[in-house]
Amino acid sequence: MWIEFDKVGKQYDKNIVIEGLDWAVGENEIWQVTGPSGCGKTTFLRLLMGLEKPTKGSIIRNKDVKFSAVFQENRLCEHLDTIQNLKLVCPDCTYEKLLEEALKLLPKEESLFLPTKELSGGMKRRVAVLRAMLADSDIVIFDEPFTGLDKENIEAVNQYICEHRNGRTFIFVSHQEPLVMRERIIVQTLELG
Amino acid sequence: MKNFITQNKYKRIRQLLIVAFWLLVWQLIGKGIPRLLFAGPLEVLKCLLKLVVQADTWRTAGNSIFRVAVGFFVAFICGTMLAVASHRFKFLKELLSPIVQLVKTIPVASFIIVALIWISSKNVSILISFVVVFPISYVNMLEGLVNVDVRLLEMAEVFRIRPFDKFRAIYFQQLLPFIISGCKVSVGMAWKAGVAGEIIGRPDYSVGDMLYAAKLYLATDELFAWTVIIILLGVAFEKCILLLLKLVEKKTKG
Repeated sequence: MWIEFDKVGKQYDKNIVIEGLDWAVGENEIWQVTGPSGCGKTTFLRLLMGLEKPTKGSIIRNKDVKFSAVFQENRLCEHLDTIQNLKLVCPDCTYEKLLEEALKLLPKEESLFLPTKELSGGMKRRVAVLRAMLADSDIVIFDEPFTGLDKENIEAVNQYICEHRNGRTFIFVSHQEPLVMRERIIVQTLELG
Repeated sequence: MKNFITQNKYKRIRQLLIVAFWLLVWQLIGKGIPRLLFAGPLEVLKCLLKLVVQADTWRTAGNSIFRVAVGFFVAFICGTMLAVASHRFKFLKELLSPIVQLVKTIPVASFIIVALIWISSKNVSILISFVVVFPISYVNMLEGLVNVDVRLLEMAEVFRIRPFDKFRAIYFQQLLPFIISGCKVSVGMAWKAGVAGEIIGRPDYSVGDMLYAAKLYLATDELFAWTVIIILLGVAFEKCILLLLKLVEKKTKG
């Protein structure tokens, strides 16, 4: 197992968000995290990525596990263009490789050289997905990856995610069922709240 | 577009007319006051042209600029480094807080007098510009660090972005407005305070000394001409610093 939650609890002041969670994730798995809004899905993802510490229990993690993520907000360096944003997370990738990959989700080449602050919401989201997929990682976290995308782009993003999985573990928090889930037989669900 | 250009042209003409109006007022005031006490714009211009061709003027300006620049850069580096450390260690922030407050409130003249007791008059302007710039750069940098977008820092942590890339893509970009505003405020102050230090300390070949000498010999045209030189040098110094920051910004973007 890569990461193991052992009776993990998280509370902010008196507000208990997660309580007594036992869970584990390993190689080549697909998980869908479900639950009503406010049940702690984002907190769970933050605990998983090590951005928060549990207030109860413990999280045992393999130190070599590498993450990448599509955050709920895009979290792009907005003064940089698409290629520069991608280069930040793939410093060893060639410019040509990044350009080729970026064109798969953002077909208008000229938009790749604009500061990302000048892109539309849907384009920014696609850059965020590209970044998560291109980064060298073992676990990719998707927190509402289809937010702000139209039907056509949801399809393109879905296709891209499916084609570039490379045996990585995917963890989804999404109101829309990603294509990758439909194609696989084993999709595990973690219900929170 | 054509309308915009015409508007711009009229704005320029209006600005030039305003400057011309005040130069005329200056000239008229000069007519009514003895030359020993007040020099008109034409006399100042004549004196300025005389000074500009003298090698000593450039040597003097260079000396003063160098001293203020040393004080400015040392203060900027110290302020930045201590702000980073204070941001990291709360205790250091609390420890430095009274010192920074003290340096901010003590009048520059007091510093100059005390500095003259401790160090040679030649170096007073270095210390004075340091004292003026340090609290501004420290406070601004600290403020900037507090305002760095935590969400981007988290993103960098998750993606294991290299420290230098993290610095140039996140920290530097977000700190730049604070650095620029700090520089804009402090560069002019450093120059003015540095010159004030030179006027009191009177090191050889310094603009402060030239200004004092002009006052001593009641050479008002020279006094005004040196004042113009000080203003121009101050503006040039500020522009150079801002240009330097722009170049660094450009370099860190790619």
